[in-house]
Amino acid sequence: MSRVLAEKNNRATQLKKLLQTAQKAATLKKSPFYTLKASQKRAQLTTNLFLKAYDEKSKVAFRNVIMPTEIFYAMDIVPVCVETVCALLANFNVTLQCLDSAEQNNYSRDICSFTRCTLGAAIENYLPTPDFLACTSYYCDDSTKLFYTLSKKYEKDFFLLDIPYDHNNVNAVHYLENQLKEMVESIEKTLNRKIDMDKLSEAIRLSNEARYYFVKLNELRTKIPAPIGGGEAIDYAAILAFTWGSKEIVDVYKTFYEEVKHKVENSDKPPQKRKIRILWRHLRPYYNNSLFDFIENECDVEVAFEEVNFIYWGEMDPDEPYRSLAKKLLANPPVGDFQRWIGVTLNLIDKYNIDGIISFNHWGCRQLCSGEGILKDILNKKGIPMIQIGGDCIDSREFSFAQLKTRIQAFLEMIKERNR
Amino acid sequence: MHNTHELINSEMTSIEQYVSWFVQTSEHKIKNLKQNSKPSIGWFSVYTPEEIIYAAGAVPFRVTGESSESYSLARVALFTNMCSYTLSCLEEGMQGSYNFIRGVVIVNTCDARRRLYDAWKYYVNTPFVHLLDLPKVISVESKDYFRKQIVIFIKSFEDYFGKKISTDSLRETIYLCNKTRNLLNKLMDFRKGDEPLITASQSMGIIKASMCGHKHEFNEKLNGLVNLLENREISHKKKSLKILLSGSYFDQINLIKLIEDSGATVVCEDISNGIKYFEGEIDLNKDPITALADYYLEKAPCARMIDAERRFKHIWKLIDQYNVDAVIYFSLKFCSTNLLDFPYLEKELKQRGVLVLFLEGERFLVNLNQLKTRIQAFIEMLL
Repeated sequence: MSRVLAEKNNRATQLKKLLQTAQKAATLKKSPFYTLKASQKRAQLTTNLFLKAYDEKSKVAFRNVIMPTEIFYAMDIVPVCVETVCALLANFNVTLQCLDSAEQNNYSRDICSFTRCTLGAAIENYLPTPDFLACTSYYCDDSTKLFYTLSKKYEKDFFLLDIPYDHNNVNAVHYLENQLKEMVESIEKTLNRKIDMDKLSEAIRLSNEARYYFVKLNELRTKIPAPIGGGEAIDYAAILAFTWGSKEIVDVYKTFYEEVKHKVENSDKPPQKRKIRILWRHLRPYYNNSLFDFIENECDVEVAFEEVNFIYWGEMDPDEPYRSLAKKLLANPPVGDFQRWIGVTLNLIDKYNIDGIISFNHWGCRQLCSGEGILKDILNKKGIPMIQIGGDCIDSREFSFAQLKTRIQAFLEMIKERNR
Repeated sequence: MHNTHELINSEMTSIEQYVSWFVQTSEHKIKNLKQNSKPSIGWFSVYTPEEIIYAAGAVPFRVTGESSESYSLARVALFTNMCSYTLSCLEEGMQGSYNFIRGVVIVNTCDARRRLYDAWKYYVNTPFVHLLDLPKVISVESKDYFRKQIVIFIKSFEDYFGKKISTDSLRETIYLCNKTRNLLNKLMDFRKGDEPLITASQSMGIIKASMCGHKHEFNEKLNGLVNLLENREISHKKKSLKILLSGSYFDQINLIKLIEDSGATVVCEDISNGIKYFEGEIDLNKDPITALADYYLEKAPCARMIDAERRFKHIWKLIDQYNVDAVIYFSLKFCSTNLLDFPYLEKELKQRGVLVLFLEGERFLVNLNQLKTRIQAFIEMLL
């Protein structure tokens, strides 16, 4: 990391360096799945926010995937979700360089590649220097340690929201609510900027509005045939988005809902033969690959829904923003007992009329993949097939598509046979 | 317990006799627990307040996973990229090794242990399975939260076993466990000289025996050993390279022997089968539950706590106390918290002139030969 400290640490230099490397590596690849205007708007919003984080005038927070962003929008802070940035870096074709850099600095290959890639990007000085970092103790240990390490590297304040396991306990809401308040007080001191509670209420209201459209969209996705492809929908990964609380995301989700509604209302008659419907667990590989294209087009099945798009929290109360955000964090299915999460999966199977589950097991993930033996056992008893496909969202060296194809084909053939 | 030990009723006059008793206690743990009329409760993390289990009239013991020969069942139940300590413990449970016990307590220390709780509940036939939540940070709020979690733990224990855990009984068991801590800390003092009176292998055997329940008997024996050692003359003639061992769960005597055969001496283990288990003591002047919460949250830090700087400061203190020359850092494969702490700790130590050797391996060190070459080269470089 000493190399970074020696370099000029301003954001313009960091962006220039990233773009120069990206140009050397390859041009930005265009996803083949983006057929909707909403998807293009969403991609543009993500890119704009990422670029805004390189503006010297911006106040920038590094946050992990479930740290609530409503607070940041209320304080005019640009949230940078460092794990999501890895997916963006995959588009720039610089992930392998970042992974190598992390490994050369003694970060083991057994560590999750999102974490390694982020560390490598920080070592290579591709990321905009944050003003502070904020992370939750969920989803995983890697994430909390990553943020701690980055806070040391950038010598910036770090806030950890310790999400309690015991989500049903009244102490849990109180504990988390107090931490949120304390975090905001600390941010106020760090940035010398007071939070405007009216703005926070407004961010909560906007978050509710965005949620409203996404929930309605998810209702439309129960239709058969599936109104949109999973390959396009998975990139929304709504539960991980760093745009909740912004005005722009309301527009994106509203557009998304309206476009899909239009499709449903104007679709031709359903095909005579119902396609196999798949529930997708976890994420997808973000480097150049044709996994979804293979499943949805070549194998002709529908990825009807993805767990990362399940809106698990209720409407929040703008008059009680901290308490509401605490409840939202605790409503997250992976918080607590794994049976809680399994319950959510079983509900989604019913709701979306699912024939089978494909679970993309990201190598290095101890949190998401580690309970799947239990899930598979429960699903077996209920007669619902599930296949776990091993791979890596970021590290293309851990992805063997040729082998996976055969397994996926066999799995889908088996379901087709059963459904005959 | 008594009938399994040949030496129990005879006078012990040598260090070797005492060590043999401790090693046997550890090796015959399961047999002894089965013969005991009191209910046995398994635990996995050194953040488990054993005092509460003792106060309930039960026998707490550490599940070590050492009887499992493979992880074939556990790997299917969990996932292949899980730490092998967790897998080995679950494997033992799934094989039925603990069908006789009444309960287990799993502390929410990391992703792996959290899933161990899920899998243990689902696959293993243990009537009482409790997860004790543990914050990652130390603050007024987190202490208060952890205190409340301890109250919940006590309540669930009382409800299941139908026995009230009184404040007085908690004070008694805190006193009992403090006694163990004090004796183990005294034992470590005998390893601080130029020629340690107790070897690392012996020390680990003793520490593991302290986790097998029956602390009264353990304390009595360790007190005997400490008295014996106090009367020994400490030699300052021989000086060897002193190694501090730090990192993940570790109990592989083979590796320690390998280090010591290479010409170095392991003088302290900053691991859960070492200092992390017994350093410090619980404040008997405080309300017992508050005292338990404060001690366990603030104890010698494990990588699972967020603050690696605090962990480094603790390691640095040990380096000073034990006059350490170099550090060997062992991480289990897939132990994210230890793997991610390492580069930071290495940087801080190197800046202060302390060299570190990083080793990564499985629970049973199937890669011991690979490690051997690296250990020998590291020690040769320092000698």
